[in-house]
Amino acid sequence: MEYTGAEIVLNCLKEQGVNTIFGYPGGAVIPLYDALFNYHQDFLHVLTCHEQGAVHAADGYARSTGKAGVCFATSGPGATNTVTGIATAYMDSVPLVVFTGQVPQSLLGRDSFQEIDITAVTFPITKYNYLVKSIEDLPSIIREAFRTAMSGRKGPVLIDIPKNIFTAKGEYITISMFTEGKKTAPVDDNLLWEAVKAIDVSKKPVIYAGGGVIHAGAEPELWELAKKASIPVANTLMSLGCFPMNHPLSLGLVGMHGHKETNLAVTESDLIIAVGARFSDRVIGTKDKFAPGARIIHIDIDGSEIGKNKEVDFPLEGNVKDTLKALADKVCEKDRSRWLSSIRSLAPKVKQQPDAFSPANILALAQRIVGTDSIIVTEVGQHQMWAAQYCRVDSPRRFLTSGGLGTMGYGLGASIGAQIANPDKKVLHIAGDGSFRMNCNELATVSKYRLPIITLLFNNGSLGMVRQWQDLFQEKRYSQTDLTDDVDYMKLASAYRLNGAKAENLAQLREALFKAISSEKATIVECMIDKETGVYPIVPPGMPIDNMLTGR
Amino acid sequence: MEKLLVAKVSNEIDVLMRVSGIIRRKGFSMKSIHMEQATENQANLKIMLSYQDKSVDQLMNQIKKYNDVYEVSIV
Ligand SMILES: Cc1ncc(C[n+]2csc(CCOP(=O)(O)OP(=O)(O)O)c2C)c(N)n1
Ligand SMILES: [Mg+2]
Repeated sequence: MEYTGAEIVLNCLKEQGVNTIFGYPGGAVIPLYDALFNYHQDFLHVLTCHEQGAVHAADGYARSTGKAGVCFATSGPGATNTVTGIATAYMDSVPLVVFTGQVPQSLLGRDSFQEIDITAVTFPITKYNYLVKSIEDLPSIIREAFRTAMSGRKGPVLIDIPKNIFTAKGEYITISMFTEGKKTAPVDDNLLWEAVKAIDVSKKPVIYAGGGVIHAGAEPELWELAKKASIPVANTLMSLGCFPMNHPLSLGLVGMHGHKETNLAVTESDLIIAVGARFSDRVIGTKDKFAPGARIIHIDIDGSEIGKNKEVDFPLEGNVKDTLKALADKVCEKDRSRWLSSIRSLAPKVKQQPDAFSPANILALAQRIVGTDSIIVTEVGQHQMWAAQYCRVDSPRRFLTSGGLGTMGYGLGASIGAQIANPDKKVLHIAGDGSFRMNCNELATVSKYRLPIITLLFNNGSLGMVRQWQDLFQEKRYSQTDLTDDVDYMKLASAYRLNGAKAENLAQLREALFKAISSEKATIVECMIDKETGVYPIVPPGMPIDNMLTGR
Repeated sequence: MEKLLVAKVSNEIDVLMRVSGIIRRKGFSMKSIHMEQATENQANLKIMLSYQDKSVDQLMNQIKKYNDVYEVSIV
């Protein structure tokens, strides 16, 4: 049948099982939005306040569900506003399909009104992108875009569509579901057996789990391997939740702000099993001193990651889920209680003061009240690292954070996407005051769609993480990191018709959170924190990860 | 060190931007570059790479990933 280009886009989205779109209209996409008007029963279109918010929302939708997030934006400024969101998704391998409008083909290359070469801009931050040149190509491009976003190592794809193609007519034939992407070859059997032998003889193995475990849905296989061979699991920021943290084999966060015993265990280990992880500088500190005595097994679907940042002994390129399953089947059952108890003995004896209004106590109380099954979404800074250190995350897709790009302003948009995708779950948005100011315009979206997001705003009156670096590494020269007291966040909340509560101690926090939950309304709970409170441990940048500053 | 990269690619300028972009970002230099249409949809791309202390395999692994690069090798 003949359809307009705009209708073809929407039909292709239906075909892919898409029912939610995050976006913002404008001149070049007027025909697309006009068609959407007729398809309103097929899609929930979430209108954000800014295209960056729309992309972060699509990202939060994708991370919390495992489906591709979909986004619409207009040409020119609409398209450039998506860039930070796309880059954020790219760095963390999040599948998105972003549609941008473009000026009509007759006006391309003339510096026309709102013409930006967005495919050129996004070459380095997309897995692939397209400028559609003819309506005949449109269905196949959209199908390929979803396949590309969702297959292998996932990532964002952008499709730039000139306005005249939205209005042109073309043939479209429905196909049922999208075809599977390229199948990855299974790992070579000999290599696999060598890795199995290495695991069997290892006395001090550690699994270093990355976000790839969650992207592959390989948590059950990881669990099998870890349990059967008694191997402790260290998490990157991206993999929190891939292994239940209440289990004795869970070591939690590793790297720059990793737990002391976790970093020491990795350093002392004789075998690192890296799974869907990429040896980022924030994890390994310095390449040569990361696990210096260990042999390294690296399991990853993306061959270009293997050996990129660190040489490995057993490169296992392939599907993480299948490879973990094969390893779990083949390794010997082992008791490694001596290794496990020696790790445990490395843990510092912390005496938390039970009444202190400290990040650890605030987060523990918030999780107790909001529930450990809630979806935690963070901004970027100290509060993010506290959340990574202190929150208990027992299942995957429950901890959404910008790891690779470290995008301040990610959290509110991502919370919106996560809440829309998971209306029956609580969303706990953990924000810093600096990050919150970046995209708090999206509170209007929270209000419009009546999303009961709870924002835990860590107000330390500063760009705390940068300030902490200035404190430790710049002789306390606090250049441009004090935010002073110029925003009344409670009034801001009420301006958006949301609730707000301020807490200066645990009792006030408890009351505020109970009220927030029972009100079923979005609430900003502002926690007043001392700006001198630091994130510890911290490994100075470029140092080995056993070189930790543990506090002042 | 100099090596010749030879690839079968899509007959579009986009692929040239992707490939030269990743070569640039990974810190390689180019001595020469040549792209020529081979069939209606395909082109042959030849790039003489020049580099020191770099892994050309790493670069290949990146280039292989693009949808519009059909084959790539170092000769
Ligand atoms: C968009 C963006 N700009 C700048 C930075 C650099 N940066 C990293 S953390 C940080 C401070 C964050 O402040 P806040 O959100 O208040 O968090 P806190 O560290 O105080 O908890 C800054 C400026 C960044 N990560 N992202
Ligand atoms: Mg702050």
